[in-house]
Amino acid sequence: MKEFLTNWAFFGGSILLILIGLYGVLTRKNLIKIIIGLSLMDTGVNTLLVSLGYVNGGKAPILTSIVSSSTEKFVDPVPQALVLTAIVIGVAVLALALSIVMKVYEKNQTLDISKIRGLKW
Amino acid sequence: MVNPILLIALPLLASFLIPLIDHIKKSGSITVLATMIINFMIVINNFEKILEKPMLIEIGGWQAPFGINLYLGSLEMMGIATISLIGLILAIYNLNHSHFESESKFHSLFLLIMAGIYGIVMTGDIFNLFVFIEITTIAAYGLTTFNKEMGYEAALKYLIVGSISSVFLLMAIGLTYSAVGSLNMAVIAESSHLISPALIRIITLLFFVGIAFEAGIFPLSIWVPDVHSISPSAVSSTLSGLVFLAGIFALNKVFFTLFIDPELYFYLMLIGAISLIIGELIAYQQEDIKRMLAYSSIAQMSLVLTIVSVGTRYAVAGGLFQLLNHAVLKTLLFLTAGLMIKYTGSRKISDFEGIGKKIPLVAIGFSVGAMGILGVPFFNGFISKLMIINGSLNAGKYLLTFLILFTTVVEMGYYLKVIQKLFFGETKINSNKTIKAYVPILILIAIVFIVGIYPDMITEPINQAANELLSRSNYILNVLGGM
Repeated sequence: MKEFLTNWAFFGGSILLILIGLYGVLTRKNLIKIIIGLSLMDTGVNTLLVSLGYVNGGKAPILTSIVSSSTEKFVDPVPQALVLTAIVIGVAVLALALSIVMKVYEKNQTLDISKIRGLKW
Repeated sequence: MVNPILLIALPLLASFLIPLIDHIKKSGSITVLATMIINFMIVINNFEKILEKPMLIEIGGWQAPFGINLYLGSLEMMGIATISLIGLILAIYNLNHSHFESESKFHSLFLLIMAGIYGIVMTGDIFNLFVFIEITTIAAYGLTTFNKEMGYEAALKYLIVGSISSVFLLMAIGLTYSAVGSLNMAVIAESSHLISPALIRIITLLFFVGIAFEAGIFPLSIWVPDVHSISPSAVSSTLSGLVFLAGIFALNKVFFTLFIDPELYFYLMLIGAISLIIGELIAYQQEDIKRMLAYSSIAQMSLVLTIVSVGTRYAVAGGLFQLLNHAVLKTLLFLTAGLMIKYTGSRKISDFEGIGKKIPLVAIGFSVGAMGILGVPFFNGFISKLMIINGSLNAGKYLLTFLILFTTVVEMGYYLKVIQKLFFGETKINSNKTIKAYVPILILIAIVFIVGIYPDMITEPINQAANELLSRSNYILNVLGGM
């Protein structure tokens, strides 16, 4: 059981997070809640990427005076670099989304998508 | 020789310089025009050379599998030549038609979207592809908000769909990396036969969801009509002509270079065919002219996807030719439709009755675009439609051929309806607005006829491009070389 968890908890957890976010986006009516759902999906996919590069018992992939030999076990640094980029993009999209929501609220005085013309689908 | 990486670097640089320059002197539209002229010259400079031999550009001097590389074969070259041409024409159009409240922001975002489109077409690295797709879409979200009427709502809709599909794209990239251990397209292509077929199915499905959003294929195209009809004309043209083109190029990369699985093509064709029928039938019912054009774009992109997934050389060449023609024609259609909306102050097709007598060049421009899409002889769409039908017949897909002909009839229905409204009947509108867009419309009409009458100059490189798309071993060899 423990072995199963150490192997699959990261994948399962992050995919669960993505699905929760997707459920939120598809079912909520409030714009802020929809954007929280998008943010959850982003976080989920970022943890998925990190866990794909994880090596059991691996260290951070940085050579220092303490960890000097490259024969030690390292986690894969590439997904971490990808996640850094993805986080930055995610923050940019989030900021843009919130500012657009602000404008929509100013115009319509409501955040309920079923009451805003042009947002129904 | 000029390094083609400038094609991406220059618009990016100019895009971030515009807000600075604009403080001192209002010159945003001139900067855009200058950048697009330089880009066009770079393309002309490299055109012949790349048709002879594909070019690999290693960024920062790192060799192919270790660093990020750009790849320019004749396929990519045809794409960026079209993008540069349309970009230049739109820059000329923007000189007179970009008087928004915050003009410098518009030009800045426009150059950003161009940089993203160049990147999507040229890149040889899947994570780089993701970054360029995000650049393109984020700039597009911004550009959509320039309409005060419903711009914010459309942009929000676009943003929600876009964020969801970017998550799926990132998942696909992560899974591919964990299966292959590299992000380079050539390395992935080389070792894709080692991945288990079930995983390939999942990865390609995720890739499809992530990129089909960009290409406007049906289930993910719910944002298209709103965004295309709301945004300013130059933006609608960019989104419909160029972003869709880049999306189809990215899909081609995934399904022909990265993973090949003949069974997948059947599903692609099925999705494309469904999308084609739905797009054309909804377009037929529209009363808003820009919404009609948007649905017609969805249908055209699905037609390209369907015919490319037939997979024979002739069909692929026809599909690619149609893709390039569509970029020119939809730019013409959206620009003229935008001018007609500006002239009459209405989006309804029924209000356009008889305005062909008042603004003849705009109406003729629209008619030329519509004829091109329908594939009338001597217009550029004729040769590509002929190649498509020939290609699907040669591959033995009779049902598909019937479907394409049937949808052309539907298309004819709604386009001819508009043309008939334009030239017959009496107009009630007494608008004395002058239209200042003769140069871009005349250039576009000229391109339509030149390509229609001398198709050989396009069909030869297009055939070469189709060969290149279908021979992935050459791609791998060109990128990895003696590795």
